[in-house]
Amino acid sequence: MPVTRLCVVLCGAIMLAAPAIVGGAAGDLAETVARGRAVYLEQCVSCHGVKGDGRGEAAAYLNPPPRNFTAGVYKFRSTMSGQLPTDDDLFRTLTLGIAGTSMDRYAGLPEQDRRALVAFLKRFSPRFAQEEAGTPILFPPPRPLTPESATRGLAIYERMQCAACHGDGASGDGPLAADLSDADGQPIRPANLTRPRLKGGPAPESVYRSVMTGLDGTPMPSYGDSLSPEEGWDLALYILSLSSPKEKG
Amino acid sequence: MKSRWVGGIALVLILGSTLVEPVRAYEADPSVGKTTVRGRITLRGQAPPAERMGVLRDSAFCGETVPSEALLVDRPSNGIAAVVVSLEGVTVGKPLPEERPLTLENRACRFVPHVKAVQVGSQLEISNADPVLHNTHIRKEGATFLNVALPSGGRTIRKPMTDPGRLDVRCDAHRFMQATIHIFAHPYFTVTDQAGKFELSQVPPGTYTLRVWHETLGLMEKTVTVPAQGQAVVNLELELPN
Repeated sequence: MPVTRLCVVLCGAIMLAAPAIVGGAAGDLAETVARGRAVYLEQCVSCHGVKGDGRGEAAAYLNPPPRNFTAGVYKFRSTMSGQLPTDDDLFRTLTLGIAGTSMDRYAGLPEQDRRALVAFLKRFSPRFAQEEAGTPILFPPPRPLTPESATRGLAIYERMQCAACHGDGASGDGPLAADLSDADGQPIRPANLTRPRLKGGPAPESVYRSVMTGLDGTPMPSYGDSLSPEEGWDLALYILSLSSPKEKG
Repeated sequence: MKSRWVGGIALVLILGSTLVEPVRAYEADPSVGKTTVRGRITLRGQAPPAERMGVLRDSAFCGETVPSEALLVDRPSNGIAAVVVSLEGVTVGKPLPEERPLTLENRACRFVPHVKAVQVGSQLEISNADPVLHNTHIRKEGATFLNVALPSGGRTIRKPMTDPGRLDVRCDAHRFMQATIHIFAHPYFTVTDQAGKFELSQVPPGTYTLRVWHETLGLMEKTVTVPAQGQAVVNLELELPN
C-alpha cells in the first residue's frame, strides 16, 4: 500500500510538473525558432526564398540552385542514406558553406544565431516532425595516408567502380557522367575529385562522410554498406590525395 | 485528493495531446473474415504493342535494348499483370502474413521483381547479380529513402521498411531500370497475376475501398461491399492515358 501511495504522489507530481517542463522547453524552442526566422529573413531569403523552397529572388542566377528546404532532403549528412541530417550536420554546412557554390560561409554569424537558423530551417519540411532524427555513423580514427594506403584506396576506387561516374582520372568525366540527374530531374555532374575544393568540405572527415553516407537527392550513393570503416578511410584519403598540391607536384 | 484529481486531468491532457491517432491501427482477429474478394483487372481497348527501351550504357552486357515492363497485358483476355490491389478500411481482420525479406535483385539490367507489395516491417534485401555497376536509388514521395552503390560482386544490402507507402526504385546508372514496392500496414493487398487476376481472402463483412494502382495507368478506387460469407467479385477496366 505505501508503494501505491508513493506512486500516486510521485506520479501526480510528475504529471503536474510535466506540462510546466514541456511548456518551458516549447517556449524556449519557439523563441529560438523566432530568432532563426529573423536571421533567415535577413541572411538567407534572397536565395532560398520566403517559403524555403529555394526560389528566392537570386535563385534564377545561381548554379547549382539553392537548396529547397521544404523537401527535407540534404546532401551533407553524417547519417545513413535516406535519414534526416542531424542538427550538427546542418550547423556545419551553414558554418563552412559549400565550396564551388553560392552558399557562403556563415562562420561570422554568432553561434546562437546559427543554431537558431538550424531550428528554423527544420520547420520548412514536415519530415523533421514526422521522422526520427538520423543516427550519425561511427567515425573511427583515420589511418594515415601512406603509399600503401593510397594503393589500397586506388584499388577500392576501382573495385567500387567510382570511375563509372567520376572517371579513371577522377576528374568527373566517367562514362555515366553526362547522363545523370538530380532529384528534380535536372542534369547533375559528378564531382571533379582532382579539384581541391570539394563541396562536402576539405576535412578528411567530410570526404569519409560523403563516401559512406552518399549525397541524398543526387546519384551519389552511400558506400557505408559496402565498405568497412578502414576501407572507407583508405578511399577517402586516396580521394583527398588527388587534389593535394603535394601529390600534384 | 486534490493533487490526484489534478494529476489525473494532467494525464488526460498529456495523453490527449500526444496519442491521438488519425488512422485506426489494424488489429488481427482471424475469426471475423470469411469472404473472398476476387476479380480481374483488364485494359479497355486494344493493348499497345510491347515496347523495348534503348540501352545507353553497358550495352555490351545489358544488350542494345531491354523489354519494357511498364504495361504487361495478357492476350487475348486483356488482363493486366503487376497491378497492386488493396482493400482499404478494414480495421479488424486476418493476421498479417509472416514477415519475409523482400529480395530486390539487379539482374540482366532489370530489377527483379518489377512490382511488389509487402507488409510493413519487411526487410528489403538488395543485391547485384550483374557484372556491371548498379545503384539502387529509392525515393518515397520524392525524398531519398535509400541510395546505395551496388558494385558487381558487392554485398547484399539490407534495409527495413518500417512505414506504409510507395517506394519508387531507380538505377541512376541505367535510367531505364525501375521498380515499385508498396508497403501496407494491413494484410489485404496483392499483385495481379499474368492474367490480371487477384484474390483477397478472409475479408470481414463491410464496405471498403478497393484501391488499384498501376505504374502506367495510375490509381483507381472503387467502393466495395463485402457480404458476411461467400465471395465478392470485382472486375475493373483501366484505360490508357491520353
